[in-house]
Amino acid sequence: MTDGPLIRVENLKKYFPFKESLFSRKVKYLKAVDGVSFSIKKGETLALVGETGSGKTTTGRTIMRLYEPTGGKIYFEGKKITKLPKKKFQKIRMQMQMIYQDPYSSLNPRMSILNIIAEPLRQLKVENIEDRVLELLESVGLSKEHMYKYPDEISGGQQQRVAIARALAVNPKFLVLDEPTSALDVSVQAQILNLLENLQKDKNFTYLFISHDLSVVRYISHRVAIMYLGKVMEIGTVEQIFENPQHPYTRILLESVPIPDPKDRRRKKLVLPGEIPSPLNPPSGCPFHTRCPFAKDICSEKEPDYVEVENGHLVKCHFVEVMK
Amino acid sequence: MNVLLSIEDLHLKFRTFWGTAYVLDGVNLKIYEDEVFGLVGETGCGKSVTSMSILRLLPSNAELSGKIIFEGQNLLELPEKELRKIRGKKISIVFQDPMSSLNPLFKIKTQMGDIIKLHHNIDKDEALKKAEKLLRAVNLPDPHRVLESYPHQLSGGMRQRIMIAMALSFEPSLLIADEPTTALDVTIQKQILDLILELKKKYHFSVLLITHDLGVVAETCDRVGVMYAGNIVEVADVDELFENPLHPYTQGLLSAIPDPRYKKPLKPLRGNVPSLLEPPPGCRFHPRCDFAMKICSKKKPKLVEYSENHTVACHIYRRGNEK
Repeated sequence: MTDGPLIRVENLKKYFPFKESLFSRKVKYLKAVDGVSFSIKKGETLALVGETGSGKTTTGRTIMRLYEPTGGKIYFEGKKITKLPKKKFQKIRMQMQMIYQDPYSSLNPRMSILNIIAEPLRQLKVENIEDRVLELLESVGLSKEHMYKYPDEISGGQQQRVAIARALAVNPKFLVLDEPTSALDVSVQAQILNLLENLQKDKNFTYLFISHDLSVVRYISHRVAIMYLGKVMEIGTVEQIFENPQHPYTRILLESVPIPDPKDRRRKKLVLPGEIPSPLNPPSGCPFHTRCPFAKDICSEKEPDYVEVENGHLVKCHFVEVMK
Repeated sequence: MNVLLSIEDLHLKFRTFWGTAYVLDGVNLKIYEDEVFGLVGETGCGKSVTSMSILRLLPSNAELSGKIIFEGQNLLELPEKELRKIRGKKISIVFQDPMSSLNPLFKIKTQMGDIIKLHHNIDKDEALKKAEKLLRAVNLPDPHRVLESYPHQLSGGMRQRIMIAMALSFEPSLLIADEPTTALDVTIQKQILDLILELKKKYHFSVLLITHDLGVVAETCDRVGVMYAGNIVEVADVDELFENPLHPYTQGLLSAIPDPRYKKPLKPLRGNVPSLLEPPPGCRFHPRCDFAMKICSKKKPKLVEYSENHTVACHIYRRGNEK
């Protein structure tokens, strides 16, 4: 199993039950993640991209089993972890870590940076904790002077570095990065992106990078999955998605990204009408048909299957061939 | 082109528990009629507070000095009663978070109707008719339903459209948009930015667009001012700024942003934004600047004209301009 993917997700589902009113008996389900499949090789970055409510964060959390999946299978290094009992899973979870969007709220304000990073080390009964913390701080570009500070005494970028150092303390193999730079300014964002990239080169980390920012995704990822209403609409390498997007949603999403070049302004662009439908009441058939400029009758009746347009480039649309 | 608003040597201090924060340090800028002026900068650079100063919507611990000239009047010297005739009418503002700008307890029709009724001196029915017309102008489908809704029943994009409709109800000559799309998804952001440009074309007002996103600037603005730690460090036409950035900070920002079209190496700026309680002396950017000279830590550079429509505040360019 050395050459297999580090993480493989098959038909992953996460439904949240809800009631339409306080007293109704009927329980409905919000299908936050509805049949997502992908795999990530060792040392690779897969980006999960989508708008608010597309289910990208839920996917990340379900893989970590922070939410128990409703259906589907998750494999870590070829081993199925979906139904693993808690005790056994804990050993595997240690190799999977998560970094959140807001670094400030993910650090305990009453603990010094030293204690924040030392906490997992104490659990593991590591010796010479201070030396190890310093080593971790240096690996994320911080120094000894930060060790005795508290989270509110350092900047947002530095807080995110501490969160990364803490995640690295347990020697993980797989990191779920949930919008790790969206709370940061652009100049600091570049620092963190470069740090993540260098760490990956050094230690061969595998990343699941969750983001809504396509410019960042273009920079950091090797492969990209575009999500819409709990489903992956298109998946492929970063070049396939950005240079040869096939799904109408991907194409319009890419056109909506503001480009830091005023000369680009004069180009006529597709604009996506309307807004993402409520996942409480998703459209029938293809979930995108309500906003799709190319929609035909079949789109509202039948959910499209994946079509492989190039090697490893899958598209969930009835009209992939036609659109070419 | 005529100057619509001109800010001259604006200084702003906040007295706080920790000491005095020197938030604006001599801001100079001009906004012309019928243009979109972008003000960009990172968190804490003073871009929002500049717009709040224009409307004098500042907390009581603020100390403001300088001049803000609008239609021949200095807004900073105007009595509150006179200012009210300008605030919200000739200059209106749209904020970042459309949810917190609307009162969650009242229907849209009450909130829009009240304001229109008050300022236009018309009765309720007429006010509602006008509200409906405004909602149509911002391309909201089914304005009737929108008027009968509470804010939480509407999406972020719709709420921002309502805010824009309210801002436009008195046909302002200046619309301040303070990060109007930061809380929205990219596809909705595109819709809202297109809407602002479309309305501007129709009603010929100027826009002061405050943003941290250089992509948004490139797509919407005519001229741009770059702010850093309470100073405007560079002002230029949008094409000129992206093609020929002069200030080391502008150059640094442009090389730190990823481009969605291709993968380019990112060069982050080193260090962090300085504390405004103890800003660095001289040029506030000098501790992070790769080209810093001796003079940079001693003397604050003035905003000087480098070429036509391109001004920059940096000692590097001073010599070439001493004619």
